[in-house]
Amino acid sequence: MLDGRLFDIVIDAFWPIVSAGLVFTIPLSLLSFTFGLGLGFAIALARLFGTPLLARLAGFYVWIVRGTPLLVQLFLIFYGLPSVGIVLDAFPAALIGFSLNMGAYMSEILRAAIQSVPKGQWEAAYSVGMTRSQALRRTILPQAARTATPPLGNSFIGLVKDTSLAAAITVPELFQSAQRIAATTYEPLTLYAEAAFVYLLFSSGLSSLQTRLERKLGRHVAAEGSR
Amino acid sequence: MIELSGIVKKFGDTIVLQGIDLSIPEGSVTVLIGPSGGGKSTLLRCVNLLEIPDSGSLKLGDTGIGFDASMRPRRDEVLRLRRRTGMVFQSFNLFPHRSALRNVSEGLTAVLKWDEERAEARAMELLEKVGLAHKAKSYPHELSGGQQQRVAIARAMAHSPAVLLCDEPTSALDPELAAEVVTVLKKLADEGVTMILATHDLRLAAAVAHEVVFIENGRILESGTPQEVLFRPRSERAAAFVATLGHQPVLAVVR
Repeated sequence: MLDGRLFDIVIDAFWPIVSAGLVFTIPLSLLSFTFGLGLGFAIALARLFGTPLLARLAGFYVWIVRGTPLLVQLFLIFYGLPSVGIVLDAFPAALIGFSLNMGAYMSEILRAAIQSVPKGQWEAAYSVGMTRSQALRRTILPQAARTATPPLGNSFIGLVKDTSLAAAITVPELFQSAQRIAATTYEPLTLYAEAAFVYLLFSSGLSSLQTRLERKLGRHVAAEGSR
Repeated sequence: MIELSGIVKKFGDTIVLQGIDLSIPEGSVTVLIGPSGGGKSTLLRCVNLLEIPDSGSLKLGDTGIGFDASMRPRRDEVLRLRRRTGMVFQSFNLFPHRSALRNVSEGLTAVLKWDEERAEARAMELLEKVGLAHKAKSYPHELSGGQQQRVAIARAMAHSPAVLLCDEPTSALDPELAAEVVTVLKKLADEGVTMILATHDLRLAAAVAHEVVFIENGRILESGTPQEVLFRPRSERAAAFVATLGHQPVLAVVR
C-alpha cells in the first residue's frame, strides 16, 4: 500500500516525468508523425501512380522498414551510422528513425484509403473535365482522408507509446526519466506504473482529438456510405 | 454533329465493339438499347474517352481524333474532346463531400477556372432547370436517388457540352423516381440538347428518342425511329429483345 514515502516519490516524480513527456515525447511524436505523413504520402503516390521502377523502389522501402524491428532501426541510425562517419545527436537520430518507420506504415494506410474511393468517383471527376491530378486533389483525397483518419489516429497513438524506445538511444524522454528516478529510489514498480499512467493520459487526450477530427471529416457522408 | 466510324474496342481478348459507325445530328437524341454486355455502355464511354477505342475515329463538331491500338492519344487531345461532353452515370456518382450546388459548379471552378460567384450563379441556374434550386445546399446523402440523378444531370450540363451522354440514367431508380428523371431528360431533349443514352427503360426511350439503335455483341443490328425499332423491329433478335422489356405501359406514353 501507499505509505508516506512512496506517496512522496509518486508526487515528486510526477512533474519530471510529465515534463520529459512534454519536452521530448510529444514533440518527437508530432514531428515524426508530420514527416512520416509526408513521406508516407509520397510513397503511396509512387506506388499507385509512379513509373514501374519508382513503384518498385517504394515497395522495396516499405518491405524493408516493415520487416525489421523499430528498435533495431534506431540502433542502426544512432549507434551504427557513426562507423561510416555519420554522427547524429540522439534526438535527431530518433526523429529520423521514427519518421522513416511511420512513413512506411502510413503509406500503406494512405494507399488503401485512396484505393477505397469508388472508381465511379474518378470517372465522375474525369467526366467534368478534370485531369488526373485535379481529380486526385479535389475528389479522391478529400474522401480518402475520411477513410484514413481512424487508422492514422491509431498509428499516432501507437507512435506516442513507441517513442519510449528512444530511451534506448539516450533520448531523455518520458520513459527514460522514469527509469532514472526508479534507479535512484529503488521503486521500479511505482515509477513504471506512474510512467504508464502518464502515457495513458497523453494517449487518452489524443484519442479524443482523433474522435473530434473524425466527426468533422465524416460530416457529409451517410453512415452506410451510400454513394 | 457527332460521328463515330469503325469504332473497335477490345478488353483483353474480348472484342466488345466490332466496328461501330454512327452519326448523330446536332439537337437529336439517340437511344442505345440492347442486352447487357452488348456494348452500349462501352460505346458511350468511348465517346467521352473514359475508354480509348482500339481503332476507328471520333468526330465531335470540329474536334476529331483517330485511334490506333499501338498509340494512346495525347492527354491534351483526350481532355479537349472530353470537355465537350457531359456524362450521367447509372449510380449518379455525385461527389459526396460537396453540396448539390458545389457538385454542379465543381467543373466550372476546377477546370474552366471560373470565379466562384459566376460558377455558382450558373450552377443555380441549372439546379433550377432540374427543379432542385431549393436543395442547392443539401449534400448527396440527404437527397433521394431521383434528386441525386437530377443534380448529376445538372452537373453534366454545367459546361454546356456538345453532347450529353447518359449511361442507364434510370436503372438504379424505382419507377416513381425514374419518372422525375425522365421528365428532366425530356425537357432537355425538347430544348435541343444533343444526347446519347443507353437504357433498358422503354418509357425513357419512347419519351426522348429521335433515333433508336439496337446493339448486340458489339454490333449495330438495327436502327431507326422509335416507332420502327421499338414497335416494328425488323430483325428477330430486336423483336425478341424489345418484347422482354414489356410493351403495354409504354404505348401510353409514346408521342
